Amino acid sequence: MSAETTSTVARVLKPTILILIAVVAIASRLFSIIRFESVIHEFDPWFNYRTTQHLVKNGFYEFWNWFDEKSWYPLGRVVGGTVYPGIMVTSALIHNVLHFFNFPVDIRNVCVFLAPMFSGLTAFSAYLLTKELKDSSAGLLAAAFLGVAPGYISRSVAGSYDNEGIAIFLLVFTFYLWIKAVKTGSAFFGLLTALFYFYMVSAWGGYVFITNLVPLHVFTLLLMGRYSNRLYVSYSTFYAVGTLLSMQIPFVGFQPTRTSEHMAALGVFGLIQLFAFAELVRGYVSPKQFKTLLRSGIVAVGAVSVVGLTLLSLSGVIAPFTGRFYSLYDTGYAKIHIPIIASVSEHQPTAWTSFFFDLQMLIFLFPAGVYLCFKELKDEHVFIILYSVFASYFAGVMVRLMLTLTPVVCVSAAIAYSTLLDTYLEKSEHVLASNLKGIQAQSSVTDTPASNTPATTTTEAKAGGKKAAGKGTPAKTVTKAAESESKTHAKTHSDKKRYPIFNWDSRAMVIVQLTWFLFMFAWHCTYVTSGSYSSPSIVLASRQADGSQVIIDDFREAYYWLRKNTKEDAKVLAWWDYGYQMAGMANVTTLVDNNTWNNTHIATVGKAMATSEEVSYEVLRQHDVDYVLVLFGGVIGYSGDDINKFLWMIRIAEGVYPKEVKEVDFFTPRGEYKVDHEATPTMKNSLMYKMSYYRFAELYGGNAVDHVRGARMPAEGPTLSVLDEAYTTENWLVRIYKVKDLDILGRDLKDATAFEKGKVRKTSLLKRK
Amino acid sequence: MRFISSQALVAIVASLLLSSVASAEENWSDDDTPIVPQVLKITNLLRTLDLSKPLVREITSAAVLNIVQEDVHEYYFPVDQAYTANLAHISAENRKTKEALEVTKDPEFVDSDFQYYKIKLASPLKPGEKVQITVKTSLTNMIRPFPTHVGQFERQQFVFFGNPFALTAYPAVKQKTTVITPSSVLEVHEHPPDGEVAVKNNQVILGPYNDLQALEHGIFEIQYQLTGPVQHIRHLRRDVEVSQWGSNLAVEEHYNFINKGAELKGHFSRIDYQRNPMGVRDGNAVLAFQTQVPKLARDIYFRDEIGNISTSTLSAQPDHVLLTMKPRFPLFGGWTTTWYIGYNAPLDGYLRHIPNSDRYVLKVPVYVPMKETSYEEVDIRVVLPEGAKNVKVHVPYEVESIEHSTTKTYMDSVGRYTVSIQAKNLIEEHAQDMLIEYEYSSVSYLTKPLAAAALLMAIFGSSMVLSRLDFRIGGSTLKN
Repeated sequence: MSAETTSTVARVLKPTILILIAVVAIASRLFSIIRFESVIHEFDPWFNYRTTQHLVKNGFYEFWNWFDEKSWYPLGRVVGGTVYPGIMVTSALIHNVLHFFNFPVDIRNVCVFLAPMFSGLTAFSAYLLTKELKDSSAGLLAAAFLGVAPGYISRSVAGSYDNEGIAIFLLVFTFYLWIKAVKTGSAFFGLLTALFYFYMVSAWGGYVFITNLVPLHVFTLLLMGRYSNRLYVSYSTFYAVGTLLSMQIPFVGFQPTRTSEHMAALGVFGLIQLFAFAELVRGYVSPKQFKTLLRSGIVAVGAVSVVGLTLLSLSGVIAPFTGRFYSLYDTGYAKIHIPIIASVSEHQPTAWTSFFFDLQMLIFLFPAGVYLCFKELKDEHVFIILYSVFASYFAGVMVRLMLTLTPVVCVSAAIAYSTLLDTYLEKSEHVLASNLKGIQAQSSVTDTPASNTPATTTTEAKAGGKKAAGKGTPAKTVTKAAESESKTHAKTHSDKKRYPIFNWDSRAMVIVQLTWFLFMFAWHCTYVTSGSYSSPSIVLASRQADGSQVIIDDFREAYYWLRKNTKEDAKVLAWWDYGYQMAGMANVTTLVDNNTWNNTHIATVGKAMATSEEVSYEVLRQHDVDYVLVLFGGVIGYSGDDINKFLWMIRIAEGVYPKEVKEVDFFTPRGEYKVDHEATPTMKNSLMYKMSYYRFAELYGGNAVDHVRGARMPAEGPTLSVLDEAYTTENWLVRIYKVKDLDILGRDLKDATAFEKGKVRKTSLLKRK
Repeated sequence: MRFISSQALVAIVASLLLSSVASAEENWSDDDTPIVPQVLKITNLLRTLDLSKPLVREITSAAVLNIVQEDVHEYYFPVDQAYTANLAHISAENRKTKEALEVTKDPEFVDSDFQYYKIKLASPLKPGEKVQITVKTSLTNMIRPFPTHVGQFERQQFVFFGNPFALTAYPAVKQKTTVITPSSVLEVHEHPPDGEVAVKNNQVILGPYNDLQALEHGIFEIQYQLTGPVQHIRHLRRDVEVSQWGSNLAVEEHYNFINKGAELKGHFSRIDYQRNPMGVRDGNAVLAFQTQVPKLARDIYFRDEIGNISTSTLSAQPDHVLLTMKPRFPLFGGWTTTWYIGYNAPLDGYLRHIPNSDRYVLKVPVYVPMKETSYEEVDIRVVLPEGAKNVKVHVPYEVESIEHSTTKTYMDSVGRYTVSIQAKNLIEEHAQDMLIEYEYSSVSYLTKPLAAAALLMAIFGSSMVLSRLDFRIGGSTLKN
């Protein structure tokens, strides 16, 4: 095959492969739809779905000014000002465009399929990014890796309608644009970076990662003495436009100028201005004078900025780091100071196995890729190195930040993998010879002295070319030619340092093994996706002894009952985990939800659960609560139930009401957390315990066993006097209680219940007589 | 409560029969004369009031005599204005020949008290001749639970108030009412209490009464036990979409349900329910709904506002598929829920092409009712293929309104012709087919692919233009 046909074939193959990768990326995220149905998963997606519905129904203006009185009763929530609207606006836009073209697609389906669709785009942007770093074959590999890597799939399966679903695409694409901007020094790409940064800000709180990584890249380049006009143009454009745009999101507001998280970006912006100024001055003064000037300048600026920053921080103009941010430094911080953050499983430090679980072979190709970046060490490679270092750290601290690590792992693994392939699949000695000829030809044209690192040669040549173009000297054409030459032979250039292997046996060994790895990777990804990440969590599936599937749909059963058979403005108290689901599916007013903005309110709910009936009845009455909802997995052995979360409720409540709730009271003298006959009196009297086990013992005729905790329950179960059991689902997974009204005779509810029970007993005795 | 032995009853009936003949003429008074022409006389009338189901069915068989000197063409049947909203269905037939008679709501004979239905006799009634006419009416929302609240496993009771006499537009020489209840009658009262009431197992016989005037009124009250739910659909939306391209009929039905039985006393207890699964049959909970879908239906789904409901089963019957839908929770009295079902069926069974023309006839059920269920409001939307015109709609009974509009859906350019039919108070008897005739030219077949092609062309064209635009600052010299 001639070189021309090869390139023609490649031109057709590349888009085809990319489209196929996108198809695979989308298809592998559809397990839950095929297995269950097109439904919104988990917890947070329900809120996003609900707000999207509101947006589609009432328009953008109403959405922007939405005060949601159905959550955080009686406080309410200003939704427009406390959300990242990116994902909702994206789906509403898709929905409206489709409807404009008479495609009446339901908004639910738009939401369900949004994350898989965007994962296709993410794969494409991974291709673009890697192409900038190495070449297009590495790009295709990166796209394929990122398309199916479980680390990313975990947050982007169909139905997982969460910010991360589009944010990872935005993250990768913004980084691609940034690298492009740094490479070309074009204001256009700087502007595009800023625009996509804005989109990212509107979509996910993780935008702070970009806000810090890009300035860090610039700062590192400055330290490496790689200041250039390209860097100046791209960063200045990006920062100025990006910051102004990001401030348009009400939830972000003035944070970019007032919080510590954003100060690095501002500082680097100032620094690069000083650098530019110094460069300018350098052209006009003698080197000696410049040295003195520089020294005094650095001292002065350093002193001013340190003093200024300290003063501003102390006076409170610049907010200190938030708790969530601290917990990134010290993994134990949250557990002590903010139990509410620590109580979320995705905020826990990552177990080492999950790196392998989520990334499989990529995790050991990853360091190799980073090493190869070190070898090249162009501006963009510095970026990837920084990205991998920081993302690795964060992924180690918090499970959910595995998500930001995955793209860079895929990119560097692709670089490593494709380098291996390049080495072992080099076509023939004949090609090598022709390449050598090319190099010789090139060196004859370029008059730049041959350097040890080809990378710097290229950049310098490019920079030189740019300067020449600006001046418009006759040298322009020559340098231009040199530049284009160096571009077309970029590959051949690096070939000089490559030592292709030509023995067929060693080739075969490596290639077969690599291919085998690829198969294993694909198999592992599918297995993990299908097994671990494709459960909608609102529907549980289990298998019976005969292998037939049983669907446990208790959550929706309870939510739908609440939706249809309680009064319009019923207030339901439940632990905050279920807040979003209840608002979305049951359409009731909730006291607390997954937007954990008010710790006191959550602690109050925890107090209502953890205290005795008398105390909690007061709390319930004060908050107009009509129903109380608890999850109880004791019957079917569902371990994520409220009794298992109870300790967190107690801890959070204790933080605010230390006199009324004490964690120690819930542990037996031997320090055990027990629910059976050994349970402490405080435990047995707590509302949560009573609601969970109310009449549970009767179910098995007094021999009830809690299947989650493996505890044999006492035959005499707890009694309730301030609540009535209103509804219990088929598998007892959700239990709903109605809060009793005050007694009409003004008695204590406990006495009233006891009296009524006594009365019942009396009449039954009479009947018998 | 009065219990009268059967022998006594026979005796009373016999004596009344004898006395009635003599006093027939004298009882006539002008106070409450019906507005319809008094050309007939009822010689004997038997009325059966069936309370064994939540829907009340009344069968009135009257032997009618022409008392004027000319032919009579119609018989009028009065309905109390207070019950016109409850009257779901009315039909009439000749009792002997079983020949159905045409019944129409008479626009002329209507006053503040009564609405008269005109029943056209099959053949004119000659002077002095007799004919036997049976009028069947079905009434909804006629019974109310008493006591209003019952426990989870308690049998509910209902109270029915009604007229002990059959309401007639003509004086009746003799008439008798039989009330049938599902099980034993608990209590019967009649006001004024002078009438004859005989209770026998699950039957109450009121009368016979002799020489009653037209529009005779009274009141009686009966309390009886009726287990099971009182199924009531507050709103049903049925969408039927015809696709001639895909030869497909897509049907989707949205239900809004309430159980109008006695409300649940206290709260639902799952443990009692699980420990006594048979006991729940005594109560009034709905555990499952059943409906029919066509034999060849595909892609059957059963969902609600928050997703799929996994507890539905299909069972093949000789001429249809029985879809059993188990709601997410048992529906006790006063509980509500909503759901929707849908399926696709091949169009062949529903659409006929009129030979040598562009016209097609669509024959679909107006709706597919569930058994013993009252439907308060029914909206039916039939979406015809894009390009259908000159649409004629024939619904077998009177409906509230028929509207014509257009709907735009997948790949539509001008929109599809849509027929919207609103109806109120429907029951099983309304399960009839409707006919929709429309014109659909063969050219219309081509609109869809042409529209799709045009859209693709637009996409390719715009991408061609866009890819040739250059957004670079600094001109195209940089390219070299």
